[in-house]
Amino acid sequence: MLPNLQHYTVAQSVREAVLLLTRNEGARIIAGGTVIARSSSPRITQLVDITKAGMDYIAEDDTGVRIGATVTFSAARESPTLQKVGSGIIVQASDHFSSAIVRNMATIGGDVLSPYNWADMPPILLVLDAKLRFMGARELIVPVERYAEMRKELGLDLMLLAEIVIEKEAADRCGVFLKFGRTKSDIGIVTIAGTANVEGKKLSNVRLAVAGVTSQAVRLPSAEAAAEGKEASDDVLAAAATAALQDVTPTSDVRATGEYRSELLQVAVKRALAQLASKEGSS
Amino acid sequence: MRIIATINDEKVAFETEPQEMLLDVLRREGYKGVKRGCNTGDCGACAIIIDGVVVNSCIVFAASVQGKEIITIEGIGTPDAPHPLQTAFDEEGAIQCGFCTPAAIITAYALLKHNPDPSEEEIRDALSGNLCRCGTYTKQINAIQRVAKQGGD
Repeated sequence: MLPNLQHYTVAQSVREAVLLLTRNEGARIIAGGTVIARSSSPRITQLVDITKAGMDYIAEDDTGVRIGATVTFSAARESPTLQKVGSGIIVQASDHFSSAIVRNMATIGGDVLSPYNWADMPPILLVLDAKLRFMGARELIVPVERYAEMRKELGLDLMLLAEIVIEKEAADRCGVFLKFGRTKSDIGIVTIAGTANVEGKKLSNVRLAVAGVTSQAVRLPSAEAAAEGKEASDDVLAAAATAALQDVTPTSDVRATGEYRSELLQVAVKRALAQLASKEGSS
Repeated sequence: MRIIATINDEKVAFETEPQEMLLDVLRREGYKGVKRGCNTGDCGACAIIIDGVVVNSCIVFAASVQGKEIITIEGIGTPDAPHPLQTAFDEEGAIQCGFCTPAAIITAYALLKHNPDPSEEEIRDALSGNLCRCGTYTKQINAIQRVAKQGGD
């Protein structure tokens, strides 16, 4: 329970939400509510509900795809537009996200900003080179890759995430999403996302990112380099898997030990690259 | 603050504090079929339908339902006039301790409204957020399939 919550305000537009947010330093955004409803932070005095603020769209044009921050996982799962983005990796992740009831509530935007290292959207958006559009006193476009480092510096926690932008070049790449958990809807012990252009069986423009392995979702540049411009032969897969351990040191928690995650990470890298290579052409 | 919403086809007004959850308010207002399980949005015992969508009322702020339409198990059927899903759950043995049953029926009701002829996989997926510690899942699926075969709700 939020002990000092005094106001719950439903914003009717992005502009209204931003105004409410900038006027009160104790104000926080609520959309699906699946994280903040469990919070007991004494600092929160106002919640600004953005579910009616017009950000539940999935829009496509010549430049790419824009996903409004309040699109739920249920809506993403049913989206024909997202089915075309990176071989449908956002749709696949939505299908594997928690339970049917939580999918009705949780939003894509909320998952992007999730405090949890196992959140599914960050690795997916990393491999899609996505950008986040934040609104506040000014508008900021932040590449997902730089979100963690710029968060404090730019005061992003006190801004409104309005939408996620995926450019056409990235959306057209082949994609893969694999979550290794105990059940379909469980939190991933290791989650991997990948995109690449595939010609013949040759991979180029390779992107790999993992979640649940260390404190936050990260790209795997050494593993990517090991596969760049190559076919997914057994040797290439093995080299990429080994290289992944140079990019990240898996940590232990209640779900798995770091040693187990290290093994699983290598399997994940091999499977992700092999599956990408089997997806001839674009997505 | 004063909230006016439609609950089970009836316009209802209630007082709430900003930090109160809908589950607490519903139970206080007499909708005791809405159960408190985990209270963290994981078990589904408090599931209700808001504007056609199944949600966990323990993680919905009561202040957010202004003007919305809510369905609880009390709006589905009564002991004298049970809904076909309630009859089927009973006859198929899908009720043991009964604690998760109202919410499982709410989920099944919303599923059949949206998809009158669901596959077993679709039923399993729809029920994925309704935990039953007695383990009646298979019988719940049988009950829902039986109602779907009879022509839905």
